[in-house]
Amino acid sequence: MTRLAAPATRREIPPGFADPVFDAQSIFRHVLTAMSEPGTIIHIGGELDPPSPLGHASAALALTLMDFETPIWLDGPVAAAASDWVRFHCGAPLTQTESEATFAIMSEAPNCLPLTRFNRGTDEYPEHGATLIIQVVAIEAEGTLSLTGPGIDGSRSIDVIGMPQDFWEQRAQTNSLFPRGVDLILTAAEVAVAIPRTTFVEPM
Amino acid sequence: MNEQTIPASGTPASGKTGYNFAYLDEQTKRMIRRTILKAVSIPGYQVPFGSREMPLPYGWGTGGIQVTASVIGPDDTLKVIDQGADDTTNAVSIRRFFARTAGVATTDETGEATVIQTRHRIPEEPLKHGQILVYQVPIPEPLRWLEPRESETRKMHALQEYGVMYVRLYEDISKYGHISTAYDYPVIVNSRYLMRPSPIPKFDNPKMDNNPALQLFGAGREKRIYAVPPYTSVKSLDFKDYPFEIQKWEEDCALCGAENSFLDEIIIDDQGGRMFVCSDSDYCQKRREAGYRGKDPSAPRGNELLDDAAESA
Repeated sequence: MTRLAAPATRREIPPGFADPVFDAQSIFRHVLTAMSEPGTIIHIGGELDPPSPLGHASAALALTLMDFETPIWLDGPVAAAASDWVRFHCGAPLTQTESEATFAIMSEAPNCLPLTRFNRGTDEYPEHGATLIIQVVAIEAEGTLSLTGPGIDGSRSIDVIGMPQDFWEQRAQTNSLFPRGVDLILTAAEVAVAIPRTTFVEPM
Repeated sequence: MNEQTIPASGTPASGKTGYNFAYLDEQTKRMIRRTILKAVSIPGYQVPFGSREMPLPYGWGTGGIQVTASVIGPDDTLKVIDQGADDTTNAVSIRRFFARTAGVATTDETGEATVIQTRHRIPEEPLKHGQILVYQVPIPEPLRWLEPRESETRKMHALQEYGVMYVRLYEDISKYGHISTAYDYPVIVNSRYLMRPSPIPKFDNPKMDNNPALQLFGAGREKRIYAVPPYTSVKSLDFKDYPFEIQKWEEDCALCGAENSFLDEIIIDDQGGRMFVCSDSDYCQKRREAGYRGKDPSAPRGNELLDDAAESA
């Protein structure tokens, strides 16, 4: 079999996981911890070099969770830089319509507003609510946000830098019709924190 | 026969070649992982998933196995129990299944396991933060015997319309003078969803409340996954004048003398002889190793003690 020489204009797509099976498994376990214990900051290691502005943790989450069954919405900057990467590695359909997306990736927090654009599921099928992966400037343990709810023994405090002023208020309104709601995974470089719809977030 | 070795991606050195790691293919695992995350974010709600055919029949823990297979990694230590015991058929075969397809370490000790798959019991030893308890669930829908239509039960969950379950418990009281439901006792999770805790005895219900471990439930035949995150309220249904009560025994464990463990009745001869022993075999064994004794003089002692005795003899 002869192999065709790659055309000179071909765009390079940076590689995905070095070990798809175990990288996905270990990252999933971190995400499971994050989702079942909201406010717990997880470190997502591994070697990945996704096209900027798609962050390391966001890219790892995409490789771990997304495939042909999950339409993805990317905000402008991520779509411009990483559409090929996401399509190639995840085999996932990209959608222009926010309400159709199972997952959405935002390069910066203001791009996720208004949250009501995204699918919040229905009372009968609340699991159709979208999972939003929002890149923020930084996530720190201990800070201005107080988290309570399932998965938290008492309360937990974190700080998220780079959120729009009224973000937490908007989130509370969007998720006020529990069980309908959206689940958030905030990422900053290699760290991530999950805030499912059941978590009460109170700015202190 | 030719030796056939199909190198499989993700098969650790100690695992069986020819299979993907932990049996399931990667797309199936991704789908189940997504389902688990949604289940965790809506505690007690049953999330439908594309249950796969597994190499054992429905009713033998296909749901639990799929959940375990999607969660487990090479660094995990797996414990499998069937009615509390590590050495019954179902537990042994599932433990061997994962030892072969994933090459993971297995254990009988509750404290050492990172993932515990269970059929119908919660271990007596309190679970720790970081552990994952995977339940095998035959019928996930708590309202199923009261309302056979899925479309209706789905609406009842959506509207939080659980009166019918209280009526059922009330009928118990009016007929028998107490709530006679002894296992699969309905609970409300996070003050919202009515949940069937799989056929664990109601003795175990209080352990689910505010448990530091993550609890995942898999129903293979019924294609549902649901979850209770750590530190989440799980309340057994009851009435003010008929508060929830767990089973009590007049006897203690005949082997280890435990007063607060769930006891199985064992028939020991055909003269009507019987004894009560702990259902949790690891718990009972540990107690006997620590020197606790029940009233049965012929009861086998802990293995370690026997070994010690043999050495000193």
